[in-house]
Amino acid sequence: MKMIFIWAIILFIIPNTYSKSNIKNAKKAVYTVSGNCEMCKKNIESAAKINKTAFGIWDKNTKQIVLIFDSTKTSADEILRKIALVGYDNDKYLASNEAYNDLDKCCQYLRKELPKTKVDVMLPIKEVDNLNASISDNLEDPKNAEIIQKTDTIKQEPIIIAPIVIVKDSVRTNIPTNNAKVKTAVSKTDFTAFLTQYYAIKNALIADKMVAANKNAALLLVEIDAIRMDKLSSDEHMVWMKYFDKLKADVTKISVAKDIEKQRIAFSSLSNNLWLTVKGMKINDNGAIYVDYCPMKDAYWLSSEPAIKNPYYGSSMLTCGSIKETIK
Amino acid sequence: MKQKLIKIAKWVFNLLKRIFKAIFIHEKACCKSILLFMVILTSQNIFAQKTVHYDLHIKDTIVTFGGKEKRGIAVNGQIPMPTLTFTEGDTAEIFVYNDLDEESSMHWHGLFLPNKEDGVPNLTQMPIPPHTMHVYKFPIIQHGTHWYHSHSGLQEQIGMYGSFIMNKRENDPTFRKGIDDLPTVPIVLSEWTNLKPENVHRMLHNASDWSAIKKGTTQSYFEAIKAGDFKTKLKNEWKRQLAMDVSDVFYDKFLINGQNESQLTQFKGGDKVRLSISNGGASSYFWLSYAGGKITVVANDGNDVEPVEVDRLIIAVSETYDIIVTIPNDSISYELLATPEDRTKSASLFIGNGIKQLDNSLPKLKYFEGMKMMNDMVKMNGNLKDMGMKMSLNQMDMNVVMYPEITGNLKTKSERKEEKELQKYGEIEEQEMQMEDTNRYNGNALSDIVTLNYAMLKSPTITSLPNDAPVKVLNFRLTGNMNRYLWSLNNKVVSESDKILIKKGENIRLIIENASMMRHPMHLHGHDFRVINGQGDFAPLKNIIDIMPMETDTLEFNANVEGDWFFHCHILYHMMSGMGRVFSYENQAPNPLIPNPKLAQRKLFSEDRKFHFMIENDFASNGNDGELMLQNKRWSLGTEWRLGYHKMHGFETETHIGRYIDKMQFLQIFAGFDYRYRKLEMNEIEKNLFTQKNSKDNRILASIGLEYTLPLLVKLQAEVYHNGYVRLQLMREDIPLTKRLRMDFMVNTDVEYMVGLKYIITKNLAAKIHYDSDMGVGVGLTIGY
Repeated sequence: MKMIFIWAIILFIIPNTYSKSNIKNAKKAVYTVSGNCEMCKKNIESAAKINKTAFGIWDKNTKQIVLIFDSTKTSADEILRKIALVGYDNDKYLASNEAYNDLDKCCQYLRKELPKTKVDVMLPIKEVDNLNASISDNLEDPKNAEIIQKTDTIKQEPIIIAPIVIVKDSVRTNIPTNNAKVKTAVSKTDFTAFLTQYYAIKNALIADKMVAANKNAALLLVEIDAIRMDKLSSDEHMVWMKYFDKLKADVTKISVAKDIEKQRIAFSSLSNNLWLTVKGMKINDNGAIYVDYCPMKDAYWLSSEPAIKNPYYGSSMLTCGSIKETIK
Repeated sequence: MKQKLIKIAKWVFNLLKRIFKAIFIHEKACCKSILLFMVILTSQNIFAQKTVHYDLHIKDTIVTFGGKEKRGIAVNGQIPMPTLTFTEGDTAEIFVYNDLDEESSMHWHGLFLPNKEDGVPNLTQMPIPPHTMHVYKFPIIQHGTHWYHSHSGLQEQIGMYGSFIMNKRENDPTFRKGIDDLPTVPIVLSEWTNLKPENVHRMLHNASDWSAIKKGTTQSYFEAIKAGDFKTKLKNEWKRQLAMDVSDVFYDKFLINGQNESQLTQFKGGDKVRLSISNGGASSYFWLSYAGGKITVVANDGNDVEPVEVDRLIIAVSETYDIIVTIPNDSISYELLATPEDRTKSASLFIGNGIKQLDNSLPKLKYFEGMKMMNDMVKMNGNLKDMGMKMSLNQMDMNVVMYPEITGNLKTKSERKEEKELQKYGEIEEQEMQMEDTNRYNGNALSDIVTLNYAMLKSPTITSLPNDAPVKVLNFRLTGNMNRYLWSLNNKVVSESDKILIKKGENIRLIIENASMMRHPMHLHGHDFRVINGQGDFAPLKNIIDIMPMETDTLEFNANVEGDWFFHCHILYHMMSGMGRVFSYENQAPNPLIPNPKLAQRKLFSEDRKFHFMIENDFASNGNDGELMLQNKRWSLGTEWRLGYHKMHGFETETHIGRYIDKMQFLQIFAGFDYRYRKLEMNEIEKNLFTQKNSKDNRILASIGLEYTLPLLVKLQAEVYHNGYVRLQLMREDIPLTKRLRMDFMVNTDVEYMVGLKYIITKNLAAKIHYDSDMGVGVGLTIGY
């Protein structure tokens, strides 16, 4: 009886493992591929996939891809070339500017090398100006004492780092990512109330409380309108203008929805837009903002604490998800 | 113990002795060969300015360019053929050994040489028979980047192309410092198909859309509806056009010097590199662009031009360009990207040492935009109207409407809706304004990408022709029809026209208008012509000119070398279809290599007179349906059959021998023969719409008739039989519903009708379901060749 059981397991496992690696003449190779996020992972892996011939598994933390491929039909170079063609620099190939620029904003990783010699000198200088301006502004306004402390810490170390990183980074992206440990100027506008209200909606969803979410969404609408556009710097203004309508639309949906699942769908959209807003405007919330990811819903949310509390499934799957990015 | 040690020592000693001996003897041999080699080298050096000798061994080989083992032809074991290098003033002596089991030849493309060395079989020499040797010997009287290839059959497609580089003498007054002294790399572009080129040629003539399926360019009704272009497709078929592509053949791989991807690691950051590029592809134009910045064009077709900086250029089939690129950074190698015009794939050469920087890849063509453009320019009778644009010299490229990098990405559904809304509110006027804009097809005006065109080429030296020579003007219209793959000059192919007689000393002016719907790279043997492009005395010299649809270009050359010179489209499959002419000098001495001119001419003409064979049979549940076709330029022989499985269904065959009458080949007259055996039920009488009776179970009939292609490509057949019986029939085959799904229908005055759906599985296999009024529903497999 036992034997039969073992055999059954073996018979079950063999075809399974076989079907998983039914790539003939399989060869394994590991390379580094630049990238940021889950979406990068999707893009990179789908570029690496050739039916019955090759596939790759990319790790966003180590930036390494493990390629398994049929060495008689393709080569690691060919696969890496395909990955670069969709925009990702790697050990063998650098992506073209166009392919890189076509990537989603959140996927535009920090590039190590400049493909062409054009270095934009203007931008870093401008950045430094902004930084100084914001610091001096803050010093004049005693209300922002806490933010001054923040900028002080920036002043001490990364103030030199910031321009240098940007020189390397060139025109490409002025959205710093956590991965590269970049610190730049923070927004001087206070978004605390705004974010707090967002967190309130999130907490209502975590607790499966539809009506509470409705109420908090209505309050958030008020907070959105309370943001004084004339107080924003011109760069911030641009970002705010871009997302203002979207944010409002999402929040309105949550405030009127009579079904918690509909609220969650709107909340997912809201979170994405808010994430982009926060990054675009370099909003700082007296501490870190954690961007969490729910792989089952393929959705993101923002949180002020590192512990995972998934608003998409409520109490049924509270701790499912992972921290994707930390904005400090 | 001691003894053992001694034994071992002895053994080791002997071994060493043997090894030493072996090395010593080998070294002696080595020395000898080195000495011999030195002697050869020095002797070559001594004669370097005199005769340069090459041995070329043509051999069959197996290659795997396309991932499968296929036949190729290699010279000295390599594809492309070895690069031949000379200096102006040398004498070239080239021994060609034909080790193939078929005839061959070697044409020195773009060279000035005596006619009998030009290498066109049956025109300037007889073909080199299998397993024999032929000597080409001629003085090198020019410099520049050229190439050489087989001019026999379709051999060029499967490997017979190579670089032919002639350097300037060091004391040449035209020597350009910083250009001619740069490190130079010869480059040959080419393409590979896993199909036999003969088969490719046959399929083209049978309007097979297998290439389109492989490329994903079927442009079917379903795809049209999805893209919101149903009306465009309908209008296109209404104008009796089949789906067009920028090129006809599907290729499995594109190659730079025989490799899809390679790297020149000998260069480093800051280096300038000159690339001598020849397009040895049989039918592919290539876009060239460089990841490290601008491209400087310094020569074209072997002739120097004033350096001009561009972002990209298209190199026509058989053209050559010399370009200079700079490597901006150390430790990065930059991609020179060669993308065929249809953008299906590409080939790359990385210049420099280090990590590979890719260039922007060219986005897919917007085919339905192209179709719209074509609908605008095609008249109902199939002719083109130029809308008064007077296009020439590739300055306006109608195809820019299909290039997303210039005219923007395809609009999404919502964008299209928005546009329609806008049009409602009176924005239409603006659109019409755009139509008037003459820059609509000018890529350089529409975007910041600078694309080379012929008007930008300027010779550094005066190229004007002798003033006092008489001028002869020749007009050519490039004509053709995609449906039957007919390509011609002034509607006549090589075998239908006489040689064009010219006199030595005359200035010949060629005015060439492209009235066909494809671009053609026209090549003149043995001469360079001036391209009249607005540069006056400094008009550039070329021997190939790419002429796009609706363009008119003017070329001129001085007739200065006697002989029979071929003037033809260099797209291999167009040339083989007869798109060419022969220029012949009056009262010239006979060519000693053509002992029997009549035989040679017959053999030359036989090329474009070839018949193309097609057969198809549907093995269906209700019977066998099939057809067999033999076609050439003007004639078509076709037999159709329907074989039922029992007497009630009967057997039926129809055979037509027809000739196409008009130049668009919409009209065919034919003579036919019908045979039918069928057992009808007692007293059953079939009547046609004209109430003529037909009750014969066993009928044998001869007929004459007309076939005319109506709008929407419906074929109308009117046939009168010898007994006075009349039949009219409407038929449309292969309506492209989706990428692979085709619909047929037929209806005639015998009250017979048929509808069918066919799903194309492979090149030779399709699944078919059809309903036939005689035989009912049938499901089956169609096998075709």
